[in-house]
Amino acid sequence: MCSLNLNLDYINPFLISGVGVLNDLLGEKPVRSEVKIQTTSFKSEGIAAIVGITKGRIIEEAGQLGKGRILIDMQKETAIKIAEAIYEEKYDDVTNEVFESISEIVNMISGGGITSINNKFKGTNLRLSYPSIFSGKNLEIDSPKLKSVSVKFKLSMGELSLNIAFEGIEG
Amino acid sequence: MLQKNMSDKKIGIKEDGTPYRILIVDDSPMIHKMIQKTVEPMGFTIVGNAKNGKEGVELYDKLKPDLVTMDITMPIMDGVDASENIIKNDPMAVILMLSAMGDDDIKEQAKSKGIRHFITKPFQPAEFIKSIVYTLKIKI
Repeated sequence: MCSLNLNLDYINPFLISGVGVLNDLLGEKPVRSEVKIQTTSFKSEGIAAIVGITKGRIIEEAGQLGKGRILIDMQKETAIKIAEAIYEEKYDDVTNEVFESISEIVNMISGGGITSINNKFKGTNLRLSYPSIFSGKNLEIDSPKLKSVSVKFKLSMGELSLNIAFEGIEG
Repeated sequence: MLQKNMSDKKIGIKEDGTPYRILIVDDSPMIHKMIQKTVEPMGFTIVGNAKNGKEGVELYDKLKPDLVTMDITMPIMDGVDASENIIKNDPMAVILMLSAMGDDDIKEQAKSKGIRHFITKPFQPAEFIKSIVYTLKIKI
């Protein structure tokens, strides 16, 4: 059991963004699970995409809010189905279009989340790095210097995990 | 009414019968595909695809499109610098900024460079077409 208190001001924007982006792109509102604190390394289901968050200016109101990363993860089959829905084409395996779709989804979810945080805490000025993609079953991903939380989005094409590791998520 | 007129008319065709010409500047092939799928059925023509701001500036000078859709975060040259370069050479350039990030600071920065139109990703097709109609001042 972990006793970490969560600061929802910095988590909810990514959850809202996740639901909105998946709904807009795929035409299906995902069912979201409860937020869970990640107490162990994150184990990939097959394909993971990560985007880094860098801080610009820090203001008192935003406290320690700053560096972090957002990760989405899913099975290969789910990633293929998502790309097929976006490109309206059929893919037999993981192609560049599949990687591109997953990469753009993590970019949009992260962008929506930090836009809300930047607007709420004026001057925070968080920015994103370019997304990176990892593939391979049971790949373990850890961010030892950051606390993280995970949530799952259930869609007809499969499940997508969102893992948020971010300075400031501790309340 | 706007929605109905948009579906009834090929609003991407000018009064002289030629299509509005669009240059896409974005490092995501997925966004190129989404824009193409959204605008081509309405009569617009994609005349160029650039993967970064530098390519976008070069293609703008060569193609002189009616509209540029411009991403912000791109390698080599970002969308704000690219837009500034384009507007410096052609103050009448029409640029629609399209980005996953749309906070007030970024919008202010874009405005200070002369960019007046902004839409965040992902976009709904109807919302995107409305933005183009507004940006190009197309009469419906």
